[in-house]
Amino acid sequence: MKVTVNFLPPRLPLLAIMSGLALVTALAGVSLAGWLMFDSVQLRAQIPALEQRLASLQQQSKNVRTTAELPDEHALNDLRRRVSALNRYSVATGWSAPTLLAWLERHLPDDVYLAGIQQNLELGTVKLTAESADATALTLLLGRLEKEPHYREILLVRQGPRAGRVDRMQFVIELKERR
Amino acid sequence: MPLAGLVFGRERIGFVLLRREGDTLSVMQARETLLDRPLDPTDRGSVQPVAQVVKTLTAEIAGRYLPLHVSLADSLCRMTVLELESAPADRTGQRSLAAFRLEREVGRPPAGIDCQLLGQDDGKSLLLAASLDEDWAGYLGDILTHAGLVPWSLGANLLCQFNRFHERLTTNASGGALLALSPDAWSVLIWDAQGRPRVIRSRVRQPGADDFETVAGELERLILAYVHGASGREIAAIHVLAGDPAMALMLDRRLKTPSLRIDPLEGCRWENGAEPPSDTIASMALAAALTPA
Repeated sequence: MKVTVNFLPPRLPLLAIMSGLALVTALAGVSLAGWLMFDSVQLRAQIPALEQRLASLQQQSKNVRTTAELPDEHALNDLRRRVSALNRYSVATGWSAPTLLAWLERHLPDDVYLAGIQQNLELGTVKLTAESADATALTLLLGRLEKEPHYREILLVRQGPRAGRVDRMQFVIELKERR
Repeated sequence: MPLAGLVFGRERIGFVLLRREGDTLSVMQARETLLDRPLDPTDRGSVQPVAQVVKTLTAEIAGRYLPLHVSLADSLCRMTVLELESAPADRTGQRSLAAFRLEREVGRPPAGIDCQLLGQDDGKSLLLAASLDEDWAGYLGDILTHAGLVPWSLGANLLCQFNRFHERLTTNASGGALLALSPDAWSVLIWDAQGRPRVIRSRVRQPGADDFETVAGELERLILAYVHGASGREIAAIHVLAGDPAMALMLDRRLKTPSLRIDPLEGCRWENGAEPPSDTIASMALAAALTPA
């Protein structure tokens, strides 16, 4: 009987380990292949439904194109013209009517009453008609308007007693905006 | 595939690289080196120089993946055949038992424990237990590591020689004894009629005038102890494995029976100028190289 004593620690069963690794790898490969085949079958089963859905969407797309057609050239030109006019109006730099009225609310003297107002946004002019029992109040209002930097010119167009009321004076002031 | 064998003696290191071609061993390289001083596990500073010597000896296998079998002087190993009422069935249990018995005999924990169940005799289980001294195991491991070598096996010289000449030694129906003599140690292995090792002894050789006489006397004592140990035991022949003819003559005179000499280099063909080694150390490397994988 030959002696097989070896003082080295027992070696790892390399062949068994390699075989085990190969087996695990092979099993993993087979499992992956099976899963891919299963997934492929599932995807193929979805194809008819997806094709039908695609056809339906294509039909809907055609319908949308036929019902929502663009306006003709003439209508488009008219629309462009209107939009251009609106744009021009919107770009006016003068005060709007609410802004002007808010200013008057704050600066109009107590015994002065506003009788009329006309505003031309295109020309940038405002015509005020006011009345008061005292000419001093008129002077005070004119002074405040002169100090307002928004207006470049303040003109007292007309001044005189109010019709039917001798005790009250009426005056018309024209304002020109600074542009 | 080439086979490589490296043998560590006390003062010598041998290396052999060979190829097996049928019954012939084609030896490509055989070298041996005598160290400046004996190997000593307490001398840690000798690891690097010895590793360098080993590296030079094994230059042919540097960077190659070859099975390198390493064998050690028998005196560095502890080997015994245990006769047990019953042996554990599993390998782990057998190892544990071998470790326990060897530790009890040596008195310190052994390293590199291995064992082999040899079968039954007279109702008892025979367990060959072998171990290496712990200090020597670490020392030789460091030398091999520094030399860049990873051994395939690590065994004892005597067991490698017994395996190599196993067919010739065990042809006889009776038991036998093998005396292996190296320059720095001598070893005896006695086997029974079934060819199983039964007695293994090894001693460091003490150079001197009465060296051969001491060895022969010890061999005779071991043989008698074995033969008288149980009925039916017989030693039919004593085989001597040594490069020194004087040893065989001394034995013949002492034992009053002719011993059988074994040429340790028989069956070898030397390749490319490789020369037969002048000592038995390289022949031990040869036996190591032929260790069954």
